[in-house]
Amino acid sequence: MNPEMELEDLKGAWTTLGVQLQRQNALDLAQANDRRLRSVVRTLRPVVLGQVVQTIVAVVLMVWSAVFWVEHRSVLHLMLAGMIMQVYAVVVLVAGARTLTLIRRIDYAVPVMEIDATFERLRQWYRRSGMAVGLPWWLLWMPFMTMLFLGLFGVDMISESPSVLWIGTVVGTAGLVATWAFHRWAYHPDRPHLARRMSDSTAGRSIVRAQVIVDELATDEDTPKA
Amino acid sequence: MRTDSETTRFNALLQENQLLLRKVAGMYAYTETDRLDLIQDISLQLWRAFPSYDSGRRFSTWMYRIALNVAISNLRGPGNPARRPASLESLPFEVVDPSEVGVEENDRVLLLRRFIADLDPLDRALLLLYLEETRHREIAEVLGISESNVSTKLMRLKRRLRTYIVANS
Repeated sequence: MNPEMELEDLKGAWTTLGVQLQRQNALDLAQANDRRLRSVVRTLRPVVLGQVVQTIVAVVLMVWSAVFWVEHRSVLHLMLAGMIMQVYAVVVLVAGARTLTLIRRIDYAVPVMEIDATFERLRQWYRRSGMAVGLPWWLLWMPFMTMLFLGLFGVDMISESPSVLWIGTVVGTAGLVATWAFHRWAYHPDRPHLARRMSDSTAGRSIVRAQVIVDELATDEDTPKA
Repeated sequence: MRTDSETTRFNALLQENQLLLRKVAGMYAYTETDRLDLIQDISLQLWRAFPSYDSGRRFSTWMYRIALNVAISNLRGPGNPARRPASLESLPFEVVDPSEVGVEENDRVLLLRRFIADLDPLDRALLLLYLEETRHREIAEVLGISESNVSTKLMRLKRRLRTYIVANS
């Protein structure tokens, strides 16, 4: 130790300490980001589980519908009911499989801004596919109940009470139009807060939570460091 | 209720000055857990005081004042055994990999850390601001003393370093 050392000489040591501290800060930040990304994977587990269940249900529905319309080829409305439900099952299957693929394709090793963009795509897809799977039920309950009643009780619902078909179609179409009109109104640029709330509620809680974590990481990454 | 833009601005300023926070925490806390606790305490106080921050003045000066106040009062506060060294050999500024500098520089860094450990909380604040090349006027503002008092205290600190080096060489 140099006995001639002055306070001024410690400034070099302070700079070295600052560099070491900065390195440690970067290391801590990288570890914290890694932990947060792992929590994103955990947060998405319910979505994955939900989509797996959706896919299994779709496969069962597809087989059941196919068997149904083949068995009832001689009765037009029963064959149509089976075919409609089979087409719907394919849509549900594709929606579930694509969501699972999008989640599987998330590469947590790429820069956070890219993960953030992938999440936005996932969120948009989940919202649209959710609508494609949910909204048709305004009308789909008719072919579905027709299949169910015939399967469980041997009763042809449409033949027994044909009014169900036209009342259901009128009410279902009105419901679909009303839902569409409400969506257009809610997503209007004049109502950004309502649009965001609607988007959050239809995007699925787990996806929104995971996106919040990724957004935070992206903000951190975008902010200049000392 | 804070606005979103205020929150964003605060977060950005906090991120920009993260190293400054680390340095203050390194000065006053000995273990990584204590350092992180201290950084959290300081961040909270900064957030509470943010509405009173005058954007015409330097953010770092305002930040130093609050950060050092929190660090010193935490150190002096009752029931804070964790803020004391974990052992007699514990030094401030424990870093993961200090090996990337030469032996001489390592010795100098070690001397600095030992010297800091030997100082009382107020002198640590003074040394930190001095080493950060802060102007006397700003040091006076941060520590709440006059500029002439800053000069006097720095003179004493320099004398103390000389004594410390002689005693430890």
